[in-house]
Amino acid sequence: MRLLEVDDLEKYYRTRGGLFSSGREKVHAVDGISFTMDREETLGLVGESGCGKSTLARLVARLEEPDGGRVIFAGKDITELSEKELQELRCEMQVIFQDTYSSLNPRLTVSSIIGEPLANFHVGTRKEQKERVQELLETVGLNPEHATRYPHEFSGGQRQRIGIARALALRPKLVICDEPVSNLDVSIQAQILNLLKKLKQEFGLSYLFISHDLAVISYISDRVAVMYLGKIVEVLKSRDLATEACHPYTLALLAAVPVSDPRLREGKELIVKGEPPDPVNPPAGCRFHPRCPWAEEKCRREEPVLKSVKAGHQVACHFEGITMRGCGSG
Amino acid sequence: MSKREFRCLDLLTGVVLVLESIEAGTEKRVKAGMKSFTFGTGERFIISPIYRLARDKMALIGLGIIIVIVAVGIFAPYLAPHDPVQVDLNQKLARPSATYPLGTDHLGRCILSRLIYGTRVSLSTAMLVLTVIIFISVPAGTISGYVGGRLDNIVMRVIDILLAFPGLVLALVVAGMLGPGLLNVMIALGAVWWVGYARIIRGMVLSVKEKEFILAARSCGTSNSKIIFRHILPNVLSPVIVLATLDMGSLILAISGLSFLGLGAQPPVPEWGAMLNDGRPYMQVAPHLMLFPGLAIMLVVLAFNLLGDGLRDAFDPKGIMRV
Repeated sequence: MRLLEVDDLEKYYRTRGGLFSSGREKVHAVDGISFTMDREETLGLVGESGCGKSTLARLVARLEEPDGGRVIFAGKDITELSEKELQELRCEMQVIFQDTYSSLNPRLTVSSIIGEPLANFHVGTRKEQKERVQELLETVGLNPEHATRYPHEFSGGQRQRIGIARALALRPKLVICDEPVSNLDVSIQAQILNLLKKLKQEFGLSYLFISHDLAVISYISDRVAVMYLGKIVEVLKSRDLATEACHPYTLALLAAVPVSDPRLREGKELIVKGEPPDPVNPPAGCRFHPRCPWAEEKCRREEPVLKSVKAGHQVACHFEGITMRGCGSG
Repeated sequence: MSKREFRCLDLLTGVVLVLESIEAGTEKRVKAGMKSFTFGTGERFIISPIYRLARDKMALIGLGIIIVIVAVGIFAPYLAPHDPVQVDLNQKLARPSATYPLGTDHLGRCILSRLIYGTRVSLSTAMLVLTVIIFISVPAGTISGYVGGRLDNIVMRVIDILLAFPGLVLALVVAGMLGPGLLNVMIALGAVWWVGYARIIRGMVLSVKEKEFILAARSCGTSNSKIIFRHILPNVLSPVIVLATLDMGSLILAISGLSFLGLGAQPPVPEWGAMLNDGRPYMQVAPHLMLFPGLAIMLVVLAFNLLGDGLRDAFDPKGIMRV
């Protein structure tokens, strides 16, 4: 069953013109993105820094107002909800943040942080709320006795567990994870990812999981969407990521993953060179063409659209991507 | 060892002993308190800053001085040896003696009595003005910073205009228009002084607003007013309290300055700043006229600064203590 449908979503920020500059410039952070998500599915969203992943997350949660397009969540267009109707949405959709240090108020105890959504929606009596907090702490693998402590008394991984407990308090259907493990040590990352997987099973959650780490994304998601400069360039099943991926940018991301065996490293080159272009003036045609080794004249003129190449696999490339074999020879 | 030296040493050890016993006492109290706040959840939030303050010796000294000074003000009629406005020209500019422990001023009034009565005027005006300032600047700064946009622009431009004048001069103009009197001086100072606070508060609100816990609160359905009261104000207020305690001294001086110009406390009323200014012409022949009011102001400022530092540490949940 369909849970979330994002349709041609747009968000741009205006750069402030100086006193003597002629006009204002627009930064297209999210530029016409469409995708769908089913119930109890995990969609991974991957892309380099500054490609608009976090903006997309905030738009879907309506923590920011979109400049165009629609977000349909459980059959309702949430971009048109009033403040009051939005409150009901908050029960069903929660966010886990990246920065475990700034996402918890340093002046509140853990129990008031986790209990905040419960208090907002008057779930049960105070005593029941307290019990629920204890329960949630246990669910995320923390000691219920820690409820009276302050956030600074915890490590990064534990703080992220507190953030997860807060997100789960209202039993949401969709949890948007905005790089939840990027700031953690690798061993802690694995713990948190396994916890998220377990919770998904237990509560029937769906995740919109954002990360810049392909390993993390392919571990946790059912499907992967690759973003480049405010657009989705490829969507495919995560188990096919290594073998079926065919957009040059996806291939470049895969090629950039370090190989542990030095003998296998030979002959492996980085496909993409250079920095991503300035989002204020994105290149004409295919946005990836200045960095794409296979770019041709058509790529400079026309912008490719996202089209299906196979069931569950969409690519935005004029040549329907490059096969893995073409990758080495160029 | 002479007798005198021996006495000095004796006094020192006495002080050390007293300090040690104070320390032992607070430690005991803190330990007893710890037990009580491991049980409840809500308790700890309220109790712990107080206990943290109780562990801070310097803050306790500051608090002690303030309590003593306030008590002196309250019990002024019982403590003052003379009538503070009683003129006795035969005794003018007298040196400290048994009858006049701190001497007399140029009109032969008892300086100690005037200081004791002056406590009431100086402290209560300064505190009232400070309260007014906080009540204007906190809402103005918070709303301006949180709402942003056009409202923020308007509030900030008003503040900029007010800040463009030297504060005391502007207060002088306002007080001049309203006419002499302590109440008018208080209004004038409040009207000028709040802008600096509002600016600082707005800046802090802006930085707290960007933190992810505000986004998190919004995403779990917390209303704007709750976000302000639960998440923003607690993170903003403790620096403001510190600033306010540190500002007490300058406020007392500002009130004194306006009193000197004839706008504040009217002549016979004993007020520390006015006394300081009254003594100015006699500085070379009778320095005690300025010395004692000056010491009184210094003591109050010092006490409030000590308490302010302690409060800052006590409000910090990370509990970093000053050593």
